[in-house]
Amino acid sequence: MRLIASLVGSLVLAAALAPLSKTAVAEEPVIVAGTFDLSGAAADVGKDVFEGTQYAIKIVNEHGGVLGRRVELRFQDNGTNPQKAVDQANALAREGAQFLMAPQSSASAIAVSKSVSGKLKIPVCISSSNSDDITIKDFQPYVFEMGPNSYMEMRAVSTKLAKEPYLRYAIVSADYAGGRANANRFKEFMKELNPKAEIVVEEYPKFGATDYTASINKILAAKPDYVYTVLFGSDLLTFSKQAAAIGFFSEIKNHFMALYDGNTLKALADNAAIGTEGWQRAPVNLLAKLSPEGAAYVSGFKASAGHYPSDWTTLAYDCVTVWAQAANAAKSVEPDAVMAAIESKEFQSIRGDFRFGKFDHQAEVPVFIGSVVQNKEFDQPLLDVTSIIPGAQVRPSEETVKKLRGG
Amino acid sequence: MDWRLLLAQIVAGIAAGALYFLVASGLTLIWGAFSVINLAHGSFFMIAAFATTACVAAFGPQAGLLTALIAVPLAVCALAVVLEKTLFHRVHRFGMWGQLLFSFGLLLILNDLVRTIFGPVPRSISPPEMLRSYVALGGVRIASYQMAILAVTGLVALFLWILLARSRTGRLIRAAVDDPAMLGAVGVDVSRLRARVMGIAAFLAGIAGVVAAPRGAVNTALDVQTVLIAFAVIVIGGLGSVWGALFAALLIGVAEAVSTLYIDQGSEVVIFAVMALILIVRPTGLRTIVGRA
Repeated sequence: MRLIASLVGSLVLAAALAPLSKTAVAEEPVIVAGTFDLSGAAADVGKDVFEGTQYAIKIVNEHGGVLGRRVELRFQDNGTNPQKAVDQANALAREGAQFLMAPQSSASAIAVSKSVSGKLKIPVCISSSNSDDITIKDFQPYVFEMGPNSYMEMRAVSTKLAKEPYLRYAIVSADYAGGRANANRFKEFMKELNPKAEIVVEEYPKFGATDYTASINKILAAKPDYVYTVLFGSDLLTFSKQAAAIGFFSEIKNHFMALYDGNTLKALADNAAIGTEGWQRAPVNLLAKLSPEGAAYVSGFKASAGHYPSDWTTLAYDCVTVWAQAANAAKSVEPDAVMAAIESKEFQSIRGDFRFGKFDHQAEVPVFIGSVVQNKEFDQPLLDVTSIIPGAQVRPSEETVKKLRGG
Repeated sequence: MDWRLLLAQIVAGIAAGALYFLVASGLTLIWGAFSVINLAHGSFFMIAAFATTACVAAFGPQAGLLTALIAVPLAVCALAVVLEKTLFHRVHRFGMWGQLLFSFGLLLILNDLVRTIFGPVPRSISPPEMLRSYVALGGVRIASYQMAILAVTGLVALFLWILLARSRTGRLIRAAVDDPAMLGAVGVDVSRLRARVMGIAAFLAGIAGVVAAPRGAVNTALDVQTVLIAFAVIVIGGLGSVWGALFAALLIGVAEAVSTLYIDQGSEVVIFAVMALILIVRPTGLRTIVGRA
């Protein structure tokens, strides 16, 4: 069955990447370059984005490359250092890159977008970072964002929760600018969508904290109806384990929402808070069932890498394949032609078909919301997606974007 | 004032402080005895935590953790002795800056090594089944596993007391704290003693890494995070004072936890605020209050 899905998926992808010539790969290769966070604080995400980029290039080349030219990846490890990322991206761009994969941390992604892509006029795709500053305040015409940005995620989550009977909310976020911005946006949306709701406690433990017991005690003492968190990755992992150890989740009846990605759920294993809720950017279990392309992608990646693709892997994969579709549609890899295609065409992806906003180059991709279950097929806890919130429903309008840009 | 919450935060602070002490005790021992600044002390903690995840993956939560508790601190101790004998002893003569630069380089190398072996994705292990619940006393909940950490801390403190007060090595360490130059003059093999102290310090960091592993995410950021807090602890406690470090660790843990009642952010600031306050009042740290080792 998987083989059939894989074959069907490959055929559909081949059609999406058309017009391609399988023979004309002898010309000069098209250079895709990336400075990845392969070491340092964001190395776990960097590794996945790198694998997704490699796999996407392999698939694109297997289907004839871009405009008949083979695609070649050039990369460097920036050590999760924004200055190093800018220097490397500059060097890679000047060596002839036609397309850049942005680094993974928000600080590095914004720096490369503004200082390299914007100045040298080379398209850059943002995969894992979803700070909405990238497409709003720090927007430049050569950047495009592949994940739902933080505005969209907060809008999706608060729209869902506003319909629920909860009135007393607790907020937990790591103490950093992005976390604070998300928490503030959540408060702002809740105020608009459910004015009766109140925030009874807010906790901002340090980023990378190793002990959350004091925050957990404080939240329990405030007796919230619902706990909303902006913790993710290692922070969410540590919080969840320490919360579970003192019966936190049963005390709040699993009324808990977090950004769960496949890697964190896998690491949590039998410590995952089954029944709690979460949102995700590219849930592998759903993608495998959503379409034949998705099934082909999941099984093909697993066969190639030996493990399932994470959310970050999928977003990187979409970056490369969308850029390839744009270049093919534009019949050119020239930056302005590609960006014109990004602004005007509809793109096919394993998360569904979507367009980009002309005014912010934000992909109108969905936000997936569900609850944590033990998934036997994947042999790990995963999100059982119950709502797919369309990107067009939760993306900021042009008017909002202009307002947020201060224009 | 919610007295029950205050009590819960004090208990949480003591439990957190116990772990800080486990790491800081070794660091203060080396500093006190030989004025060696070893930033790679946090690496020993991190290596032990990763090694524990490997043990648990191989033998399961219970047997794996028990195996790790016996084998990992010894392995980390051996690693530290080898590093001292082969590399560290070469930089002692360059003083504080030489040691600082060397140990920082070592920290980076060990971090990359661990990343290469275990990968960049955070790891997680479960505590043994019997330690997964919690105890509720007067409305205050404390995880069974945290109680186990407190028990281990008590045992380590007892071990240190016996080591320092009753053994020959302890007497030599205390002599080194008082007057390191004199030791060599009276015929003590200082190089050997230094290797021994380095091994003991790493052993303690190893125990801390093993017991900390099931509490949260095991990742390659643990080395820097740990050594940063450990330094604050030994500065507050008084450089070289084991019992000062114990008091300082508990003080920091409780201050951090109680501060959440009044501020909702950046508990790390509290650690350094406490440090600044103590240093203003007592520039040598608390050791003259609590008594040096």
